[in-house]
Amino acid sequence: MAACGGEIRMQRKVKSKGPAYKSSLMQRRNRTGYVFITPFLIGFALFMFIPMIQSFIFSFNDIKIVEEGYTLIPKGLYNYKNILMIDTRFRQNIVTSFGLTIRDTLVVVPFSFFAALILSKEFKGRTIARAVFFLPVIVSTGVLATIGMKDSVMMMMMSRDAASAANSMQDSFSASSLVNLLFSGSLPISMLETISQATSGIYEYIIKSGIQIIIFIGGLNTISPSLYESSNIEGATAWVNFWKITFPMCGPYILLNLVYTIIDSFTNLSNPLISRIRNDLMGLKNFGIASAAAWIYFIAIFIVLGIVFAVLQRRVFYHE
Amino acid sequence: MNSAMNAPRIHNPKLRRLLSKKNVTRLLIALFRTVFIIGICFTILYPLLNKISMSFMDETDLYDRTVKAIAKNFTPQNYLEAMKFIDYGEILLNTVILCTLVSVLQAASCTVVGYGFARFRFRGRGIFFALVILCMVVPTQVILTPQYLNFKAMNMLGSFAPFVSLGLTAVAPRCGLYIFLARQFFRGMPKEIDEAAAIDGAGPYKTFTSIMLKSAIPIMVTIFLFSFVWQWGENTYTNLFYSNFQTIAKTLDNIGYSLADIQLGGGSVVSLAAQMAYQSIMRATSTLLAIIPLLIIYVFCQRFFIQSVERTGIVG
Repeated sequence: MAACGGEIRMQRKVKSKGPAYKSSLMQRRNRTGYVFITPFLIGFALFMFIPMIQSFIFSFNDIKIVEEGYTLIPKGLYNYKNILMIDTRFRQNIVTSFGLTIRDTLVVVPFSFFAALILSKEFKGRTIARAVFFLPVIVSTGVLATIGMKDSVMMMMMSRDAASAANSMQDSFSASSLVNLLFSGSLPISMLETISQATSGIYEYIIKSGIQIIIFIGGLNTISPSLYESSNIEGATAWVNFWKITFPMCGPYILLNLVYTIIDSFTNLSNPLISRIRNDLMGLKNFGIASAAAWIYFIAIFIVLGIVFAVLQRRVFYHE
Repeated sequence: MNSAMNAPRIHNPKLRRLLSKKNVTRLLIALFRTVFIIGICFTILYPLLNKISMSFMDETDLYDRTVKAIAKNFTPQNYLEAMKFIDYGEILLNTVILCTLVSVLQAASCTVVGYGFARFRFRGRGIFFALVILCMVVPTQVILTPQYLNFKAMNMLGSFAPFVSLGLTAVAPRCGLYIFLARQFFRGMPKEIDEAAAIDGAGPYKTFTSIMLKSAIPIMVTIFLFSFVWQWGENTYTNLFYSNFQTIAKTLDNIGYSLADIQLGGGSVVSLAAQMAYQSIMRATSTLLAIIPLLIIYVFCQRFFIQSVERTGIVG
């Protein structure tokens, strides 16, 4: 959005310098842009805009699925009232999902920035390291990502239920065994637990950071090396270079990643609210209430993103 | 030349100290980087390696305390059993067909739309692009119900039709991100290409098909890869729109239940543990079977993928 500057300037130059017919030629050429985006416009109208309006209407109704389509039973504001006033789970869930989002954002964005900084420098074996870092993006999507979690849950259950026989197995396969192995005897148990929780959390966060690392690497590559060269000639240290060049030049990417992480975390399937709405929809029940919940949630996301944008947009430096 | 040779001799100790200090810092940074990278790589690969080692184990190896990572009774039997259990041949073919269809359509449509947004200045471009951003922000849960009911009303459920129509019009889930990436990619191309092509008599369509598309291969492969991989693990849409179509994601989503069905015959504690061990092995092997095709594709596409990551300077 902010990067259109160069193009606009070029346009103006053509308009001011060239004869009148040239600009109309440009205009005619530019009009073909509509042809290119037509598929999206049709798709947006049919599969986004209409469904959004329908869903908004649904949220004020109760939906009964019948043989030929569905019927609406008007409920007024009942669905919203039900969710906000009567249903205690919703409020609980929304607090939980806000908490999760804040935690995710605070961990994922700095971590992915750091990882991208390291991966964008030249070193031996960089190709392999990058290939491994992007592996979670490829391997852990959708259902596949939840499989690992389910497995560990099962392991925990197993160690409780069939304790004696399966104990050895749990020992050799859980990540916490590594921690136990390394620190057993030298640290109190409560600390061990914290460490092993953190280690299993690391994996979760690495998986969540994949796209963000990609975005940051792309961003770091747009910084012109001449900036560093000239600042090195002026005698700046690497530390100064980072704070005066790298960090401000990455501002737009930090903002983009913040937004992406917030959306990703809010709409993640592990989010209690999303999984609840999904279960309602998959079970083809409570359509009205689910729609109302989704809309409240959508508005909440919008407000959060709006606040993030309002706070950061002015502080972000755009190099255009 | 002379002064350059003299200088180190005069300030030799100081310079040497400075150099060594620099070297030490550099060494420390390199050390830290190596530890960090190896640590993260280990964390990423550990569950995968774990599953691989498990998948070759015999059940008895799981209780054996002396067995840690490499199976004593090395056996490929698990793979054969898991393949039979999850009906691998059929679901693999189904998944590949669906994923290829969806991702080819999305790569094509998102590239075209992204090109339109990047290279033409038409009235209302900003507003239309805001709609793309809106597609990224709206939770799918908001639109999923009406989409389902509309497809049902149009008699399109239980076929590829919903996937084709969503993919062809670039509004399938995550298409907003792909349009964004494509737009960013095309924006990085020099304006002179259009001008040169125009002088040679090529119209906007001709320019797109015969010049731009060739250089757009990395971004198209990236979108293809993203979309393929996402579709591979996706179950919500498939379940709603084509409920009796067995895919790998669907099978894995339900594998807990189907494995539980098998082991209901058991009774004593020992056999319960044995069944749980068997379940774990089966689960690990099936997951690996699900991931292997993705790994193969990643190995082939990785070059394009990294290339377009480098070239896509995404600016909000």
